[in-house]
Amino acid sequence: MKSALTALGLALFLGAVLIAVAQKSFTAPWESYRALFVGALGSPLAIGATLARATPLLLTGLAVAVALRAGLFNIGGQGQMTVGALAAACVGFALPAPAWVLLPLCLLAGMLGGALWAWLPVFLKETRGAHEVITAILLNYGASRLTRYLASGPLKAPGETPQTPEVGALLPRLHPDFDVHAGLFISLLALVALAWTLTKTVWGYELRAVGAGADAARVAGIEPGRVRRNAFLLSGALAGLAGAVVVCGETPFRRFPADFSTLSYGFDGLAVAMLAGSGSLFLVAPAALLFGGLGAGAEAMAFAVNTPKQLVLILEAILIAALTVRISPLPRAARGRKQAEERGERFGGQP
Amino acid sequence: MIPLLVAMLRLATPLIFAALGGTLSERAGVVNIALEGKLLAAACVSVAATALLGNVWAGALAGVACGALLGLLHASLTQALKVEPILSGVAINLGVLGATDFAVRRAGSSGLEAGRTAPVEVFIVLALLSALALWWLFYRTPLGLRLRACGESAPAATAAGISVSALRFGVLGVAGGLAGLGGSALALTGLGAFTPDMSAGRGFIALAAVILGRWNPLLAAAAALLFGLGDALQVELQTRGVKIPPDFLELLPYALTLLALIFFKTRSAAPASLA
Repeated sequence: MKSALTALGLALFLGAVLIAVAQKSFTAPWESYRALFVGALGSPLAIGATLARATPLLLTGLAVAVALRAGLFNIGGQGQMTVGALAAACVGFALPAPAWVLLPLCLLAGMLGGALWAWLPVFLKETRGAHEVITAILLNYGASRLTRYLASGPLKAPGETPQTPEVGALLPRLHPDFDVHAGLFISLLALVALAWTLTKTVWGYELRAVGAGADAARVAGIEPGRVRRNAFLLSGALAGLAGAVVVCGETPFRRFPADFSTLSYGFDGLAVAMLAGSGSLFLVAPAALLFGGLGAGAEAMAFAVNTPKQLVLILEAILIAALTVRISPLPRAARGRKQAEERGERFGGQP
Repeated sequence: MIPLLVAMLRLATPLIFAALGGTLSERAGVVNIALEGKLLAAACVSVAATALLGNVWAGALAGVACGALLGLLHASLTQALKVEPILSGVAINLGVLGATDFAVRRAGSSGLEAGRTAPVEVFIVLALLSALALWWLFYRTPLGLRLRACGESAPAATAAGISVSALRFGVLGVAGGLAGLGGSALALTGLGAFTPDMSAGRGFIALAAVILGRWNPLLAAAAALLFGLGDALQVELQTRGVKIPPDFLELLPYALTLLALIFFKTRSAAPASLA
């Protein structure tokens, strides 16, 4: 918690220096951050926008966090989310079913789409030895170009705008005036279900065991390969669910626009999971809220004081670097040594 | 036929430089997905420096310096602060994407103009010479042997008296410089302009070339040439006005790269500490 706040402080400080240099003004950082804060939390409308952004971020953050608990980096969340969103949109506009049947089907299609896109790197890793990080990143680009082609070609709705037809299943807004929608409950449900699975089931125990040490897990009779594959597929399904929630819930969407992949929820999930850290899974919720606020605030800031919203990308980069200084494998050994020394002192013996 | 080959060489040049940077750092045992950010940053800096100084070679040099500095940043994060190399790479890529986009938008435009372009032949020759030089370094010099030892087993290299982190600092700096040269080639030999996210994943395609080239500089350069051919074919089809949607053609380089990874088995060739 302390290191998360330190990293956040460092990122905001370096961001302030950047704004001051870019705008050649010492008051510009203050004005920019004030506009950002007002845009994130300054009014009920702003809070609604922050919650709406935090909804998919909670899911993509969980996607990265679950894979991380099994010792894997899922950097393909962006592509998995995009493919999941398109799958959800296709089911949503193609199936003539009542909304209460269609909505679960859309969400399921999103999860399957995301899991499919996550399966490809797993397959390539297992059969071809290609590094899953590189294939997942290439698949992010692939997903963005492929869905853009499909949504502006074969799946395009009649009209000028390149987008799919409207889906028949909507996640309603919680209040007509605010952006926040019922998808928030789906995200929170996923959080609780996942936290329970990780801590209370055999499956979750095996996942954490493999993440803590694959060799020890193998000795205990767990197959690391199978556990990792399942964790990666679950991670993809969560990212795909995020895409489905965005398509069905976010206004002005309720369809799949050709430039959907410019939404960066999938990439941001990595920063959310890093900020949440390796402790309790529930910490993903405040992290998602923070990045939701940064995103909503940055839009308002760009509009109000002409500081480009790309500032958030830079803040995110600093946060990821600053936060991960502690979660590398080497300090764990160093930590163990330090603890041993402390124990030695406490019992008065020579270490 | 000849124009297609020229286009292939031109489009492959940034990939070759980035793939050589990737081969170098991965042979020394550091995963380098930050190549994408180095290409993008160097493209931006080389165009800005060319416009400022009025000379493309000064601009290209500035691009190399920018890539090398980012390489040293990657080294500081991974070697001194023990950040996971993949996360350090993500942070650098994200930061560069944000910073270059931020700079262009602050200038109130959609891109930067260099005002002149560099002759592509020089970069092509430099790329091929670098591939040969790297091969010679790896397999014909004691330094190359030490470098590969770091990639196979850092503890064994340490036991043999090699300062692993000092060597990796140097390697990442040089690898960053190579990627910087690639970024300069990307921006200065084409239109002489920079647009946000113009590297468009080339750093990652280069990493796929490293894998396909089995971490051998000459084979990695050959794989990069193959991807350059794919890119050249795509551009050729677009300019000929073939009735294929441009969005579909843009998918081709990534699909081709993934297909290549599907058809070639490469696991056994990876440096042991990365596998």
